[in-house]
Amino acid sequence: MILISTIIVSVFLILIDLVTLYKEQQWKAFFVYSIFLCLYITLAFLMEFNIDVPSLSDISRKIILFILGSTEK
Amino acid sequence: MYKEVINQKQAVVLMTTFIIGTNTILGIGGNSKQDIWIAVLFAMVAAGIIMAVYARIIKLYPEKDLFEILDVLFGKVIGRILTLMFVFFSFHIGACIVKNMSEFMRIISLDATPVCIIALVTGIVITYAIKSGIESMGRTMSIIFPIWVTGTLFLSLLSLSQYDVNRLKPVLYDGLGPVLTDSFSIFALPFAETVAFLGIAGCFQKKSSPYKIYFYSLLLGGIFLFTFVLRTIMMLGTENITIQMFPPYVIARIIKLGDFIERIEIISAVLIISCSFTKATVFMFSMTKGIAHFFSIKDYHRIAAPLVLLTSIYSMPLNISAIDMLDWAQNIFPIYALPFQVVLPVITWIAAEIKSRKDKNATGKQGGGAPGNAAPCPQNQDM
Repeated sequence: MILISTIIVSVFLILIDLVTLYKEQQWKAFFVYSIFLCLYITLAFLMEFNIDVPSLSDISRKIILFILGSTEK
Repeated sequence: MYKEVINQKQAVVLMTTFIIGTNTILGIGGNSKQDIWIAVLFAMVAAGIIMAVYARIIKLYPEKDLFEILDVLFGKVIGRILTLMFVFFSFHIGACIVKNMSEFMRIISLDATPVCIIALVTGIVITYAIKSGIESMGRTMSIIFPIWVTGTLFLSLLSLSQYDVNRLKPVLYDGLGPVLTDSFSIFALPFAETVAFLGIAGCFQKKSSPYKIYFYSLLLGGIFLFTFVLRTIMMLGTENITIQMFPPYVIARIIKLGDFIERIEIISAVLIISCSFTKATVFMFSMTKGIAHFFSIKDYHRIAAPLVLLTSIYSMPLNISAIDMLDWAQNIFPIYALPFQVVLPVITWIAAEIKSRKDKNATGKQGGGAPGNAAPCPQNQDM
């Protein structure tokens, strides 16, 4: 479900935004846009195939509990 | 390029709804039980101090956002590193808010809909808001805000018969300790989260006072949170609050007036989602502006879509469950956010004061007049 919806949205984004940026030759914006779009699609792929994505909340929780010396969770 | 500007009233409305934001989903505190209203008052006092710092930074550098100010104060390299740190914070908190919203919507009504679809649709709406610009957002919230206030008053008045003042007693039974712990939580979430407005401070009208924007919002948002916790405690009692996942939503559910006005929680749900939406949008505005500044892209609207959608989709693996999400927000977030909400702004403020004084002295020695509030920064001009 997530992959299909991501691909549909990405196609729209490419048609609406990315092609316009290419035509206007705004290369910096074009490359930044492309990089984040690729990241977005990659993340969708990882989640579709149940590959664990590191959670910032979990990482921050571990760091803070380590600093505070807490043993909970 | 066209410069977006929001007036003082719109900024106050945006910030007030931002402050109310996800607290209407998450609820507030838990350690101080029936004394939570005292914790809100303490948090408001503490927030007043840090908000004065935020306002002072904006006052020293009017019409500039945090990322431009960081470049001016610390140079391009350190400025960009600090920009990335702030972008990271905005990205993470933006994702958390989308998570809060999508979990809330899934649990209250869309239980058969995959969370990814809710998060994606939320992301699309936020993208549209960012592409439309902060002005449109300000105008929209100016229209929604009176409706929102009326809706809240309506719910409060309807539930009047169900209030039990005795549920507020005994006062300070467990001492000041739990109250201070909750004050710290409330200070971080939501009051000090207004640090996100530093990222879009360049959109504030030059003649508007940042102090007024921050303090009016603190007052309005604080009054709302204060009445909201009082209402929740008086209606549910502390025992019931701890077992409910979304207490603010639950109190709307139990409102009953005769046999004809009942199950009006949909009003509450709309109010909650509109506030959370403002909060998510402001964080993502800030993040998009930060990324655009980092890569020296003038028009930040152009790169908003993939950034917002990436944030929205990243909200899914963020917490394994709604319980985990609430626990993180109440116990971990206040400490996690401290460097971004307090340390970074205070360092920026001190550097800004030193630089503006140096610039003033230099201008004075050259025989020129005092530059006033606008700190002269030659390298700003190319930004």
